[in-house]
Parts: sequence; structure tokens; C-alpha cells
Amino acid sequence: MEAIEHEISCVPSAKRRGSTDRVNQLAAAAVTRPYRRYSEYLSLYEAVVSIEGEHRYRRAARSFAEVYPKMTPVIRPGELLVGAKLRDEDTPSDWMWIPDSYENEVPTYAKRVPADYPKIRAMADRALISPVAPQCHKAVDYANYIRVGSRALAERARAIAETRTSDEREFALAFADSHEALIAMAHRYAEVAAALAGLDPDPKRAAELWEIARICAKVPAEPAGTFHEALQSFWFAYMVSGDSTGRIDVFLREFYEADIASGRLTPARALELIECLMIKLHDDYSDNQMNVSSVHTMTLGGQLSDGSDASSDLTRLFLTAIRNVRLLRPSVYLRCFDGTPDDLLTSAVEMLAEGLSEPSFYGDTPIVSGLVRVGIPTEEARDYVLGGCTEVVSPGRGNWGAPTGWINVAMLVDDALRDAAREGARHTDGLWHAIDDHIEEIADTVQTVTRIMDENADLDWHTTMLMPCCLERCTDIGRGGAQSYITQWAGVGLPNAVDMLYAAHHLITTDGASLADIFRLLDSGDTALFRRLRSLPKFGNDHEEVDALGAELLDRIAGALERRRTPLRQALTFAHLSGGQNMHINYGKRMGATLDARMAGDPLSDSLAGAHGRAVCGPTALIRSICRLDHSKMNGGTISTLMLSESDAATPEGRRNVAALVKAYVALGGSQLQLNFIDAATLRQAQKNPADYRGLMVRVAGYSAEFTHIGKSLQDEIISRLEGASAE
Amino acid sequence: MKSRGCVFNVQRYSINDGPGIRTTVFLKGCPLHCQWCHNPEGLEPQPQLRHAQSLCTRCGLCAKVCPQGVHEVTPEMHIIDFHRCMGCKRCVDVCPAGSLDIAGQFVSVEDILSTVRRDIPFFSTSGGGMTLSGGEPLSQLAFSQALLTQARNEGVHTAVETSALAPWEHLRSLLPIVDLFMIDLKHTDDARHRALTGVSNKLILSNIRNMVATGHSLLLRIPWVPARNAEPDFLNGLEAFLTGFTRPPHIEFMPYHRLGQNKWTGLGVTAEMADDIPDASSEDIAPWVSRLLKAGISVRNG
Repeated sequence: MEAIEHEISCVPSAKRRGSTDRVNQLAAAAVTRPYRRYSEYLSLYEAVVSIEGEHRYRRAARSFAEVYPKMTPVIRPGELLVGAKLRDEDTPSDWMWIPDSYENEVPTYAKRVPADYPKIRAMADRALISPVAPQCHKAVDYANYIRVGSRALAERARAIAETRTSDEREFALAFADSHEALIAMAHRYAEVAAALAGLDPDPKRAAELWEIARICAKVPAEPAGTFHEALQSFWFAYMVSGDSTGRIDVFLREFYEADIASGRLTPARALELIECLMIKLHDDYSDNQMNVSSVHTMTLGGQLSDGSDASSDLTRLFLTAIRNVRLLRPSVYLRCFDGTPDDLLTSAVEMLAEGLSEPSFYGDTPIVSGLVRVGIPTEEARDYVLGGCTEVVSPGRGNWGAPTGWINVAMLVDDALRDAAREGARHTDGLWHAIDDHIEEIADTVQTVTRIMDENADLDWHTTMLMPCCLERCTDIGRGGAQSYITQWAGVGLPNAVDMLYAAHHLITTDGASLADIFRLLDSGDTALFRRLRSLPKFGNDHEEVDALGAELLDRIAGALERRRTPLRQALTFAHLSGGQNMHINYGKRMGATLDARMAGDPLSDSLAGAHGRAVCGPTALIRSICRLDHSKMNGGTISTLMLSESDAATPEGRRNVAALVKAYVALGGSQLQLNFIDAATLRQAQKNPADYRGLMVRVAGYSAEFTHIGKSLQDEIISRLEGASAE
Repeated sequence: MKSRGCVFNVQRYSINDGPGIRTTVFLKGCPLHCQWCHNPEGLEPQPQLRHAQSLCTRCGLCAKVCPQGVHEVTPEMHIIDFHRCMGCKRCVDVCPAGSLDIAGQFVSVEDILSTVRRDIPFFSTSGGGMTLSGGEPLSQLAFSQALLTQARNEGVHTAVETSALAPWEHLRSLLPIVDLFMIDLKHTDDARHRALTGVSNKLILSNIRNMVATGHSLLLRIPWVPARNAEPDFLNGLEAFLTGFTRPPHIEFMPYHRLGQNKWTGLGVTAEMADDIPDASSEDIAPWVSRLLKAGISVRNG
């Protein structure tokens, strides 16, 4: 590592991106390039004529072969890694993802329930559940693919086809056709690069183009032999399937180390190549993301299949590259366990303190043990990566849903408590009884929905063709081609549900109140009741009794799901996240006032970190609460957002303390953690709605104060100071 | 273990009160009256009413329940006659905005430790622990001793923030149960010290000399307050004082910030708080730092 630090400089300057002029220019072009439709790609697909009676696999493969090799190769000045879909110069993207602009996704998802299931459709219409798709996110087998190459896969597929009949034979032939098409695409890049090389007056650039031509002639047809070849092979495959990069620092490590050992590569050159890849990941996969980082997800570090530390110098180079290019995509996760080196955590915190939004953290222990509990072999579980926003997926082996749909946990508990009220529940047992009934109903429902969606799943060929495990089974990813099948249903609003449950439990057992009366007052907007509800302890404040109810609720929901399976899926599993579709807002809009002192229409919690504005005892108390939940019961993925003051990470000592928070979170059994260093905009919100921001500490120099407790003029000053600091 | 103390705050995730992530216990009562005090609720030894004007909705419920006529509420104003308050907490209990509370309550060692213990996982990963602050921890010596002893017994790193205005014997009694002392020094000139804090600094300086002589872990912290102690005489005096030691203690400057200001109005003690003090920054202190560094003193600029 010393050698790397001497050779490679990190570039904190706001103006420059990347470690070299080349990267700086490529990144500048990438961030200024307008979002346009991939019109050529789209019109090639539209031009594919359908052939009557053609097998669905063959049709998918033929479409692929009529599109990918026919796309105009894009090689931009200065690029070392090539491959992009041509953008339309004139037509703006017809679909732009701008979070917050969603009116409401609930009816859209409800329509995915077939009309012959009216009861389930009604549940989806009232925002209790929302089916999404049988597989949303995945990580294809990039690791295997770049080592084997398309030629060997195609040959193997043709050999398998000889031994099979009907569907399986069609599958194998289609698989071979698609890989041959991918080779043809790369060869077109090789030709264009060679032509450009012959024309380039700059001998240095000409040499680079000759090298690009050589590499594209070799990969992805053949196994990659060098680090540069491995990156190029990966990128061609990513152009097909995208999504999660998988464990890129793990599967590229052998190429990196071999090149370094042989003297073919320096760490500085490797960094430049990785920075080129980061620009590709930011800019050249999708035409329709505007201002979110998710959907493209990179996972670094964590445990290897044998339990040892997966991180290496290459992990550090990736972090440095991400830090240098400072681009919005992809989302980056640093997997952590007790063997994660401290310097990785410190680098990660430094990046966040510089204003980057990456990386976030994932604790391995609960995810791995949760996956093992539902039958995933330990080695495969330890290989998990993150896809989409934060969904746990298996790189190259599994179809885990990620997510299959959403469950509105807040509504589930509200429904159950209202039932308990009608039944005159006087004890907490009565509440649990009602909750169990509703959990069972929901679990049955999502089991049915999962089965229906699997039966009606569209063929996902772009994923299938990059999953060699599907070739062994001659079946696509949606119908048994993968090694493992689980399904994730993502809960939304668990903290709200816990607060409701505690309120009901407390009011009937301590105050001796009638739950029916309480709901009557709640629904009539009684302000005294609201004050009382507001004053009760809330999840996120290290309150054992509240947190224990949360842990119990989670165990019951996850247990009910995990007891169920479908013909395809070995278990239903639970997650807790609201997704890029902001389901916490969508669901909240559809709900009346609730016992957690939430007003009608207000959003549910967007993470496990307490209901909005309710966690007021600081980050350590919040972490204790979050970690009283058994995160192995949310093995589909979670979100926990920790708000810290920017000045918390202003000094090396402060950053060590923040890294210590992350370490403690992981040690206490937490899964996902993302850090937000508070900015001026948040403080402005806090000024407007002080009640929602109780407990927000501002730290200036050696003193600290609760922001909502200080006067407006001082608040203004702190805000302007923050703005001054972030301006540059 | 029967010892009870008056504590006005137990602050978890304190990151400016010693090494690592700490839980800071703020004890009430202080023999000094620094003009810039940022924890004025720590001055009086008894519990007292506190009001956060920014949260107040002027609903008037407090005025209705108060038996003492402490609160006068109009749609525009909430005026509080703090001196009439008997601390019955009725107003605190009815306030829907949570804008009222009583600063300070009598608690046991176990009460405090039950909170401190919660953050042991964070102390472990950060090298943190428990800090006693205030107010002045030495003003509740027996309680502080009991608290520190118990924390130490449970393996928690202990630190004390003190003005050192107490008999040396009191400070010395803490040596075996405190890992780190942080002593605030406000001025080296006695007359100026009296003017700024209301008390002489003779005992403080003598205690610092004694503490340095013991070789115990010590950080000398200097609140750097514009228009108060940020003056050449103090810098000269500080340099002379520190260079007088064979092994001078480490120094940390704490630039003044007005965050504490609203607390004074909330406690009804505006008259004492000078509002003409501007904020200080690390840059302001740079000349002091470089001067002391040249003199061979180890300095941190907070």
C-alpha cells in the first residue's frame, strides 16, 4: 500500500476530476453531455420483425443479434475503455427519473395484480401491498464471464444443444447465437479502433487506439489476460445487462495482481483505467436517469466465500478512483465485517466528509446469517452484493427478487390495531393476536402474488445470457435457470408501526384506556390525544421496551414470510426499504392519522432510523435502537440513514469518531448504514418545522447545541456559515 | 452508593469533551461566573426552569396551571418571572410544544451509569468514555467521586472538565479515578480573571502547577474570547506560565461561539450575559498558536 500512496495522488480539488488530464476531460464531457434517447438502439429493436412460431429463446437471441452488433461503435477521444450506445442529438429522453416528482405509484403497481384476484387487487389499491416484478435487480456473472469469454460459452452451448431436445435445445442454441453476436459487436469496435488509429496524427493516441483494437479483437471472445482486457470485457457485458457490478474488486484482483507482478501495469495506470470505468458507469449505461445514483450499484470489500477479508489494494484503488472522479453513479457499498481494515473505513468517511454521497456501508454478519437461514449455502451467502438501491442480490447465481414488491407495514399494524379495538382488546396479547392474523393474511397474499408474477414473468434474456448457470440448466433466469431462488418483499414504515404498537400497548395497559375510544379520538382529530401520543417514547431513542416491540414485530413478519415458499422460490424473505419510488411518501399519502402521532397524509419513515423527527437522542442511541432489531430478518436489504453534522467529520479525529460509529454499528449487528452530513438546506427545513427536527445537533468549534433550541438569528448565521463552507 | 447529584444533562455522542465518542455528564453549580459561559444552566446548584422561545407557540397552557404566576402569555409574547418558580414542573408537563423544562434533577450514580453503559460499544471502537463537566464537577465532589469510581470499575475511560477552583486535596482525591483532566484557564492575570469570572485565579494556577507535578494526563484548555480574554497580556502571561514548567502541559484553544447565548435568555439571566462578543475562529487564534509553538508548547487549535 505504501507504494501506491507514493505514486498516486488523491485529487480533492473541486474543479478537477480524476488523476490525469485524460480522465479530467472525459469526466467533464460526461457530466455535461445531455441526456438523450439511445435512438439507434431503440430503432434497431423496433425494426426486429417477429417470425410466426419462433421459439421465445430464439426470438430473444435473434433480436439481440440484430441490435448489438449493428449499433454504431462509439469511441470517444481519449477513451481507454470503449463501448457506448449512440445518443440521439435532438430528442430528449422521454422518461426521466426525478425523485419526488412521482404522483403516486400505488395504482400502477396495483394493476400488476391480475383482475381475477379481486381481493388482492383491493389490497394493492388501498396501498397495503404493491407487487413490482418477479426480479427487479440482479448481478449477472461478470466474474465468470470475463474469465471464460463468449467463444468458450458459445462452444459449450452448441455442444449442450447436441444433447438436448425442444426447449432446452432452443435455449442452448439461442445462448450460443447471443454470445457470437456479442463477439461480433466487439469486433466492430476493433475495426473502428484500428481505422481511427491509422488516421490519428498523434502517435501516442494512435498507439492507444491500436491497443484498443487489439483488446476488442480479443475480448470478450477470449478469456481476459490483462487488467485492461478484463475491464473492457466487463464493460461490453455491462452494456448488455448493467445493474450491479458485483464484487468488482474481488474478481478483477487476479488480473491486477498478475499485471503488477509482471511489471505490465503500474498502480497509477490501473487507477486511470478504473477512473475511465467509473465514467462509463456514470454516463454510458442508461439514458433515463437524471439525478439519482441508484440502479447502478457497486460492491466493494467484505468477506470472501471462506470468511476471510476480501479487500485488497484494488479495493483502495476503487475508492480512490470514486473519490477522484466524484460522479453521481454508481451507488457504492463498502461491505464491512470485523476483519475490515480500519483504513478503508477512514477513507470512506473522508469521502463522505468531502461531500460525496458514496460509499454506504453494509454489515456482512446479519445478511449472511439471514441468507443461510433460508437455505442459501454459506459460501454463496458470503458472496452477496447489493443491487438497485440497496437490495441484496447474488452475483451470477441467484434470482432473489430484489425486491418482488412492497408491504406497507404501517398500514398492516394500523389495520390490526383497529381490529383489536373492535374486539375490545385490553391486553397486549390481544394486540399481538390481531397483528398475527394480519401478518398471516399478508404473507399468504404475497406468496400468491409472487407465484402469479413468476408464472407470468417476461423472458429476461439480457440477464440470462450472462448467467452461465442458466446454460447448465438450459432454462432462463425467471424459470429455474439460477442456482437459488428466494423472493424479497420490502417493508415500509416499520418504525411507524413500532411506535403505533407501543402507543396502543401503553395506553391500554398503563392508562387503562379503551383502544376503541382512542381510535375514535384519533379519527376525530382530537388534539389532546395527539399531544399524548406525541409524548410517548418512540423507536430510535434507545428505549428498550419500544425497541423490543419492534424486534418482536419484525420477527413475526419475517418468520411468516420465511415459512412460505412457492414452486420456484425456496423462501419468501423480508427487507426494509422504500426504494427510489419513495413508497414511504406514496403509502403515507394514502393513510389517515395513526397512533404514532403521525398526521393523515404525512410520509412514513424512509429508513429504519426512526419515524420522521422522532429519534432525538443522537446517533449512538439511534444505532442502539436500530441494532435491537435482528437484521438477519431483513436479509433482503435495509436502509438506515444517520444524520451527522458536517463539522463532525471536519478533523481527522472527528472522522475517526465517525468511522468508530460505523464500526460499532457493524459490531452491534447492523446491516445497511448511510451517513448524511447535514447541510444548510436541512437546517432551513428545521427552521421552518422545528418540531420535526428535535435532537438535531449543530456543532461549531468546541460547542454544540440543539438547533431548534437556538434563536433565529443564530440559526441563520449557522446556515450561512454552512453555505459559505460548501460554496468554494 | 446513596450519593445523589444535581445533573442538568447527560449528553451522549459528545465528541468535543475528550478523546473518542464520549458521554458527558453536566453537573450543576459553578463557583465561577464567566461572562461568556455557554452552559449558564450549570451555574446555579439547584434545578431551575428553562424556556425555549423558538419552540413556544404561546398557547398559554403554562399560565393556566402555574400556581405561582410565573408565566404571562400573550399572542405575541411569553414573559416568565423565573424568580417566582418553585420547580413544580406543572407547566413542563402541560406544554404541548415541549418548550419548557427544568434544568437539573437529582439523580443517583446508577441513574447516570445506566445511560453511560449504553454507549460502551462506541467507547470501544472510538477510544472514548465518560466525561464529567458542568457547571463544575468539583462543586459536587462526593457525587463526582462516586460516579468516577463506578465508571472506572466498569472499565470506562474517565475524564473531568474543571475550572480547578477547589482545594488541591479535592483534585488530588480524583487522581486515581480519572484518566484525563481537562482544566480551563481563563486568564493568567489575577485582576483580569476576577473581572471576567468573578473570582481570583490564584488557587487555579496553583492547582495546575500541582497537577503538572503529578505527571497525570492533563489538557489545559483556553477559551479564547474576543473582547474579553483575547488580549496581549493573556498571551504574554500564558507563555510565561507555561514556559515555567520543565514539561509543560498540552494546550487546546476553544474559539468562542455564541451558541450559548439563547440559553441565557431562556433562563431569565440576560443581564449577566454580554451580547457584544463576536465569534472567534481558528484563524483568529493562529498567532497565539504559533507563538506558543515557538516557545516549545504543544498546542491544539480547537
